[in-house]
Amino acid sequence: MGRLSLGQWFEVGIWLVVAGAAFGFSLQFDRSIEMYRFGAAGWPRVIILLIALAALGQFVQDLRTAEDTQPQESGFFDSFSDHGGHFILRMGLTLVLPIVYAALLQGMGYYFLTPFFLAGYLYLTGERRVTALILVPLFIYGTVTLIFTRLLYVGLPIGYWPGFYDLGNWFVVLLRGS
Amino acid sequence: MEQFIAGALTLVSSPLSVGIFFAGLMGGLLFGAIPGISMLTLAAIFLPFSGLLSASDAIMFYSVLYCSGTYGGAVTAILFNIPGAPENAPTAFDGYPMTQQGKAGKAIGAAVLCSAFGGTCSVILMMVATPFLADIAVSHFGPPEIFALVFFGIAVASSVGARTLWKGWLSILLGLLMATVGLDPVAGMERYTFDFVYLLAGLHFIPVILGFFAVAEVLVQAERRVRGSYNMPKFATSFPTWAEFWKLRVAVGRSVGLGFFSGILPGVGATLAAFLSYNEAVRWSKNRENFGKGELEGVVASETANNAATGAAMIPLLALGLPGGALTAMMVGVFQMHDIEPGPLVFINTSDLVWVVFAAMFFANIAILVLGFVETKTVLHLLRIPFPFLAPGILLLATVGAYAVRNLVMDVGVMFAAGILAFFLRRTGYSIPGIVLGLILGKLGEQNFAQAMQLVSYDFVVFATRPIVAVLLLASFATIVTNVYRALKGSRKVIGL
Repeated sequence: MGRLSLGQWFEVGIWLVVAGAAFGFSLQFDRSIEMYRFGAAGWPRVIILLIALAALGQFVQDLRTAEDTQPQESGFFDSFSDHGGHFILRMGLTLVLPIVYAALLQGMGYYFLTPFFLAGYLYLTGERRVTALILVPLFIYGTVTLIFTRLLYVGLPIGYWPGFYDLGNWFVVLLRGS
Repeated sequence: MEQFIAGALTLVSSPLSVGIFFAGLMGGLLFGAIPGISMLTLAAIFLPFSGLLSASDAIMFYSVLYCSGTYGGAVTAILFNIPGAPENAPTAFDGYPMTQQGKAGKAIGAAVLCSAFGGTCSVILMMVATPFLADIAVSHFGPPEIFALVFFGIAVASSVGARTLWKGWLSILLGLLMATVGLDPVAGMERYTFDFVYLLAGLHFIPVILGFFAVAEVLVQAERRVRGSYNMPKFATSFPTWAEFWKLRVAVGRSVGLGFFSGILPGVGATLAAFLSYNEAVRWSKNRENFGKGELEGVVASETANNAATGAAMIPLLALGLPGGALTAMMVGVFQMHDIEPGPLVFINTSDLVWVVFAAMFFANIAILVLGFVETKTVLHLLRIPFPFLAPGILLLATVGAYAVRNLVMDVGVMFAAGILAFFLRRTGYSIPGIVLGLILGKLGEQNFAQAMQLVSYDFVVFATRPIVAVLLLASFATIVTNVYRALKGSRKVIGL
C-alpha cells in the first residue's frame, strides 16, 4: 500500500472521532418513546454509522490512490507546510480574529468594537497604508451602521460592560436622533 | 383570463399598490444581491409593517419579493461564490468559475433569462392548475412520499460538489447530524444540547449558511492575499447569445419541470429543486467533465429550477395553507394578520386577492428580465472593487444578518465557527452546499420518516405498494449503488468545489 499523507490520516481520524463522540453523547438521550419504536437516538445513530462507513470508504480510496504513480491530492496540512511559520502565524491570527470579535461583542458592543475588528482584518491580510486602515473600516462601518440602525431600526448589541454600555447607548441615540 | 386581467387592473389601479410592487421587486433584487443579506432578512424586517397594508398589497409584496429575491441571490453566487440563499448554491458551482474566467456577464445574463423564464412558466402553470395540483399534491403525497423524495434528493446531491463520492456523502451526513441538534421531532427530547438553552431550538440555518458561504469565502480570499497569490477576477460584460440558449432548450425545459414539481410539495421547495436540476443536467450532459469548471448549463439548470419552484410553492400555500419554505411560512403569518385563513376557501372568499398575487408574480418575472439586465451592468462593476476592501463589508453585513435573525450574539459566534470549519473543509474537497442541504432537509426527512413509520406500522414492505415511494427509493438506491461502484472501481468524479 502507498504512503498516505499526515493530512489524510488526520482526516479519517477526525471523522471517526466525530462519529465516536456523537455516538457517546447519544447515550444521554437514548430513551424509548412510547409512540415511536426507534426513539430519539435512532435517526442520529444511523447517520453516525453512515459517517463511519463513508470515512472508511474515503480511507480505502486514498489507499488505492496511493498505489498509483499519480501525486497525492493535497491533504489537510499539506499546503500549510509549504509556507513558513510567518504565514501560519498570520493565517492563524486571521482565523482567530472573528472568534475573538464574537466573544467580545456581547460585552463591548457592536458600536465600539467593529471598527477595530475591520481594521484588524485588513492589517492581517496585508494592508499597511494607514489611510486605508482608517478610512476603509470607517466608511464600511458607517454605511452599514447608518442603514441598519437609523433606517431599518435593527437592534445591534450595545454592550453591557461598564462604560461600553453607556457608549453604545449614546451612539444609538445619536444615530436615531431621539 | 378575465380574472387575470381583473387582477392586473387592480394592481395598477392604486399608486400605493404599484409602489409596493416595485418595492418588493427592487428589495428582492437588492437584498438578494448583497453578500450576507438575503430576501429573508428584508421579509423578516417588513413583517410587522405588513399589518398596516391591505391584505392584497401585503401578500403581493411577499410574492414579488420571493420571485426577485430568488434571482437576486444568484448574483452574489456568481460574482463572489456566496449564494444569497441555499437555492442559489448550485449556481455557484459553475457561475463562480465563469467569473474567474472573465465570463461573469455571461453567467449573470444566463441567470436573468432563465430565472425570468422559469418563474414565468411556473406562474402560468400556477394560474391554470392550482386547485387541481394542490389536490394531487395532498392526496398522493403523504409523509412516506415526502421522505422518499428527501432521500432521493440527498442521494443525488451526494454526487455533486465534492472531490470524491465519499466526501460528498460525508458532507451531506455532517449536515444531517447538525440538524439533529435540538429537540427530536417526535417527543421533543433534547439532543446534543449539552444543557445550553441556546441549542434547544437547534442550529438556525441562516447563521450557518452565512458562515459556510460568506465568511468562508472571505477567509479563503484572505489566505490567498496572505500567501500573495490573490488575483483580481477578469472583468467583462459579454452576455450569452440566443444560439447558446437554444442549445440548452432541453435543459431549460427539464429544469422547469423539476423545479415546478419540487416547489409544489409542501416543505420541499426551491433548494431541492436547484440541486435536483443541477444533478440531472450533469447526468444527461455530453460534457459532464466540464461541470464545476464554468459550464453555462450548470447555471441555467439551477436558476431555471429555483425560480420555477417559486410559483409552484404558492400552490400549497394558497390552496392548503401549507408553506413551502421560510418565506412562504412568513406569508402564512401575513394572511393570519389580516384574518384570512389560507386554504381552499381563499379561492372562494377572496379570489380577487389571489388573482392580484398571480398577476403581480407574472409581471415580476417579466420585470426581472428587464431590470435584471440593467442591474447586471451595474452590479458587475463590484468586481472592480478589490476583494480585500469588499471583504470587510461582507463580514460586517454577514455579522448584522446573523445577529438580526434572533438578536443573539451566539448566532454570530456560530456563523464565524461555521466559516472557519468551512474554510478547512473546502481546502480538502468537501461540499459546503451538501452540508447546507443536509442541514435543511435533515429535520424534514426525520419528521416525515417518523410519521411514515407510524403510518405503515413499521412495515417497510408497505412502501413497495405505494408507487411514488417505490419509484423514488429505487431511483435513490440505483444512484447510490452506481456511484459507489464507480468509486470503488477508482473513477473519481471531480465536480466543483
